[in-house]
Amino acid sequence: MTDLNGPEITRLLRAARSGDPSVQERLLELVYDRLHGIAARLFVGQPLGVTLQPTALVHEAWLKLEANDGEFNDRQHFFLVAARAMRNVLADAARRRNSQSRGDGASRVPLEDVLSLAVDDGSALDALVLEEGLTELERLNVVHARLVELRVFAGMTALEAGQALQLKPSEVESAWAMAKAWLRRRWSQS
Amino acid sequence: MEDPHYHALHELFERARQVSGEPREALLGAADPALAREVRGLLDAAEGAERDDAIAEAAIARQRALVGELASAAGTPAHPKQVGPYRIGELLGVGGMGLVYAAEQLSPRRKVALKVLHPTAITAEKHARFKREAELLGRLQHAGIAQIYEAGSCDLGHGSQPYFAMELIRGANVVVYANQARLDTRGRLALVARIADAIEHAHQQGVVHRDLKPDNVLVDGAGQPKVLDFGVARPIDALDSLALTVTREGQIFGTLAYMSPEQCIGGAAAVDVRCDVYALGVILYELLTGRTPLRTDGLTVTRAMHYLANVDPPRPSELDPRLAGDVETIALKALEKDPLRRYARAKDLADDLRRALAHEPILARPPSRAYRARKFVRRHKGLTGTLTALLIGIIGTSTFAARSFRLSNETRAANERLARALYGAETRLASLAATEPGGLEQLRRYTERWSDAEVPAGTRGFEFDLMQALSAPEGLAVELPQRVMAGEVSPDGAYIALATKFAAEVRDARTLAPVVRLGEPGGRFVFDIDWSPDGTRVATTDEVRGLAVWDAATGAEQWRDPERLTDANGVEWAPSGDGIVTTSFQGVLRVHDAATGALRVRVERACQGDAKVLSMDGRGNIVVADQRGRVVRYPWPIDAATAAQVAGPAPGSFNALALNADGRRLACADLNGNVTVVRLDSAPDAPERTRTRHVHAERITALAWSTDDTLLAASSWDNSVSLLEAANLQPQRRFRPSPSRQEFVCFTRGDTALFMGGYAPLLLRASLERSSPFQRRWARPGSDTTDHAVLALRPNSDELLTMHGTLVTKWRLPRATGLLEFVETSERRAGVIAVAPDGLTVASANDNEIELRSAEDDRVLANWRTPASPIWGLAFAPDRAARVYAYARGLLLAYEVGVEEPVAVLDLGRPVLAMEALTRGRVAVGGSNLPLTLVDTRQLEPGGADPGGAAATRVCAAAANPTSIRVSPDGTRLAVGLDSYDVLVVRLPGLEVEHDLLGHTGTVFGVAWSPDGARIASAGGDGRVLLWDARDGGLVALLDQESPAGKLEFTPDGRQLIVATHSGSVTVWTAGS
Repeated sequence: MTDLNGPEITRLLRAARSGDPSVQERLLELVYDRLHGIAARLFVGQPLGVTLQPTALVHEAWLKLEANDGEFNDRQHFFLVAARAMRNVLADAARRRNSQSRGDGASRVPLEDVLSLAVDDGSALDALVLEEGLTELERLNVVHARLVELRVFAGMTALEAGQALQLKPSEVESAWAMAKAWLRRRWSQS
Repeated sequence: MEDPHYHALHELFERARQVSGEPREALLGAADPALAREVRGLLDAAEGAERDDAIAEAAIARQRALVGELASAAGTPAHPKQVGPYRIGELLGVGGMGLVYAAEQLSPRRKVALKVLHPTAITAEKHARFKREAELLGRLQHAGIAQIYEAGSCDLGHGSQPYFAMELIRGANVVVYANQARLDTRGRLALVARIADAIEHAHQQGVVHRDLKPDNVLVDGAGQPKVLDFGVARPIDALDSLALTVTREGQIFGTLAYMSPEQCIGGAAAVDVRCDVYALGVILYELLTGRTPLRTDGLTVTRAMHYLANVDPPRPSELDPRLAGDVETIALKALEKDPLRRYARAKDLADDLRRALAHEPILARPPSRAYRARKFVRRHKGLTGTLTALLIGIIGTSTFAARSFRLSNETRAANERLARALYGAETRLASLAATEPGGLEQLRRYTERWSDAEVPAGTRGFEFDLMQALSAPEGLAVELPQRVMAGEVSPDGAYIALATKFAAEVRDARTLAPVVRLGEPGGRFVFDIDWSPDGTRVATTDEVRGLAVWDAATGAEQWRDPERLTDANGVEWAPSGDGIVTTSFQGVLRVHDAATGALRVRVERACQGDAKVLSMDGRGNIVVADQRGRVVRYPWPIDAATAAQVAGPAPGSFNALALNADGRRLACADLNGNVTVVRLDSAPDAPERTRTRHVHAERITALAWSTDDTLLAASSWDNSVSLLEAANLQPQRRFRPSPSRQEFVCFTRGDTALFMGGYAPLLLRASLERSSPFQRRWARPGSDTTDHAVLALRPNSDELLTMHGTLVTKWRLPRATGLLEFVETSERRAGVIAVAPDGLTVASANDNEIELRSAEDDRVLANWRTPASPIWGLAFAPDRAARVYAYARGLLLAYEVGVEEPVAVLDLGRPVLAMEALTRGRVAVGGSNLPLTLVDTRQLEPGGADPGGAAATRVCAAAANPTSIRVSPDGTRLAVGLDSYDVLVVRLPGLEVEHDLLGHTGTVFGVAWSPDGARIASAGGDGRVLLWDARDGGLVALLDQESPAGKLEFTPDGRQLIVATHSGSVTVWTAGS
């Protein structure tokens, strides 16, 4: 696992602002590894205490990076990457658990709290259902998909997310309403 | 990159959701039908989603709060230029509690290291203690200790931050230094001996480091080791740090490797000098072998505790054969798990190290073979895996019992100790977590685990039963189709009428089951609801009908406002039954005929438009908040001419109003979370007329009075509902029914429960009777007092006496509910009371007169004058009801009832503040500059051995400035609360200190023993009520941390703990049976 606190991630974050997709991918990989590491350490088998929430995890990763390199200050960009990485971590975990538990009936992996937007049958939203919806939304409107990621996986406010995506407040509101309605409609149909 | 179809959908959706009704239909009708169909689907989804949004938004908000905490914990604030008188230089380090800077002090001119702690919510009192502790530590002057210069606090824009300045050491941590300087084994042993010298010096000054680790030992350029960070931050975070680490991270990071097993398990209470010896042993081991003895990285707390308590480190010679012999023996002796087998002092360790260096025989002995064998058994029996398995598996298994009796006894004792320690650690954490949102779930998990575990008899105590009671579901909740806007209980108390977002309905008040729906659901927003005084009809206001009246039995509409005034929002039905009052979004106050709906009275610009700010008393008089932020009262029958302002104008506007039934008191709440109570029956300029308290973080949406007018309830957008003492607005309880804005709250008839609801579509009925941590309270009406209430329980009865000022109140404790039942109150010209051990006599004292009365009929049994005044304390001898002790300032008086003159007098020279009568004529006293003193009054009596008093007293110097003293039920120990925040457990008759209970951060005002002697409860000025295991001194629960409290008592059956708080209220903690 590459260390998030190493100089490479800072360099990549700087380079990523140029928009080079290969840099973006490499960055995503690094952050994914790091979040996965933190998650594996914190989510597994705790008899006591509260599990860290996904969003808190992303922020913890950020704080570590920032503490390590005080000059670097591109929080928004980091969060864009980290929210995507977090989404991947959770989706992968859900797939893994589904494949492990196949056969004993328990196949749904409900997401906690933020993601527990109840669907019509009242059950909690499944991580994989969200993942499928986001993947499709990504094809239709990538900004809307990023907005959902930032709000759900990085715990950003609409305003913060809008800044990160360079949207006006009115645009954020409209995009958030649309993305939610679209995702929800998709779930109610599926 | 955007899909064109999605783009088109978005565009139409955006336009359509801006409008509704006809315009929306027109818009969609004009569009491509296929697209319009899809957009309708999206609009439906969006509207359906709205219900969930409140939950989702609340969840996101909670995530953000969590992140905020995390951010402040990890904090990377901007670099300050100046802190107090210090010019800040470079950042030297970042620690768990704060940042360390190099800094320059201008006068005296010197370079210092400045440690600035993270901003936390700390009180002025904690600040003061922090400063005091820093001054105390400043007296530690030793070449091996970094000198503390001074402490203070600053505000760098994040709130108050304590800091302290200390000697600036330029050097490396001791392990790094030893490696860089390539010290050989002898050099390393000598280095540890010098560190031990410094620690010994601190111990001699009464200071234990508690957090010794290589990062806290720097070696300067001259090779001099310097120990840093002697518990200076302890007052800030003594109790919370471990628990916070655990609950927030799920793991312990950092310093666990250097913590002794007893410190890790027993927390602050178990800390003594031998914990520092253990840490020195770890440093020694690390310097010799290059690793810490036990590695706990990645372990959870319970596993780490298990590991530390059971697993022995590898012998150093296993890692490096050259370390065999004396060096290994010394290191392992310092690392003994049992503190009693460890070096008793740092000096002993230093001496042995120097003996080894000088090739002299050392004093430490390698453990005998027999001892090792026993340890082997214990270790392997202990390593059975999970915690529960550990507890169940060890005790009395058959193979085990077959071994020698002595062995099994010892092992069993060790395991029982371990089980108790683990139990204590978990209860402590669970009790801390219980005060957090979501803590009930944690309590439930915890009680389930420990109720099944086979633990040694007597491990589970009062706290366990209490937590079980608390974790029981405290109320009933049902899901509703939509969020709740308002609710009202029927006059007979059997039903509750609810205004929900798209419907109005009546439910059974007990089961919450739906009874009847008022009209068809959907399509209209219902704002408010009220019952007719006879309970047969219900009035609602909604956005389609305006005011409407329904048959409460059938749900049929009786009439709707003939004029269709759809701007009505608040509604109240007059007690006379003939009129219905509404407020409106247009600011109009109206009175309708209740039979026909005809408009009778109309007052323009009478009220605020955007809130339901209308309340009515039992006679129909109303109050409304007007457009200028004032509260205006209209006597019934309502007429604009008779209106009068009664409160305000408020700086923000009022958002909720409630008149009590007799109309004499008005509660108002504003958008900022403040509640104000106005006494309408007192003169406008009377000093006690209004009282305000900030109760919620966000706007308050509804207020309600209890039927008996002693309680107020408030619901708020801060996601909570609070229950307040009406007399002083002290919050008694806080409910968090769901993580969403709360819109309404009301009491059941009889005040046994609260209904509440809000954005999350839930209706909750929370019981105020059972399993509630705050039971019933009393208060001197209308005063916030800081007097200490005095408590006395009558044995063999349910009676509790409290004293407040000169008022003595009698209460009864019904077993079932735990509610305090008021019996009577009487005024005594007295300042203190005491109840005789048989419960039949009550003594009271006033200035220089002592009076004994019958507890049954209040008849005066005896009274006499004392030679000194004022009498501050009274006590009956536990073994003889005819023996009464009293004190007045420094004078201790012993009386035999019936004899006017004291039979014994002793001048203690210092003011007495605490007294406890013991058997056989003995009395324990203590006070200001008067350490705990045991007096044998029989020796002072005429003909006694010692009329002068010198031989009659025994002093415990460690117990300086006692504020409360209580003897254990078996008479063998004293629990002594001190103004230095400690509680000491002292053995009788020698007064040796058995335990020093550390957990309070304010003067301890009260201590009490549970009747079985297993628990000690303590309460202090820090607001904490703590529960301790009396045998091992471990903290087992934190019951409260917000109520500065004085006296406390267990009931004789041990089921209830009664605490008198400084606010003049009494809290009853009732443990389940």
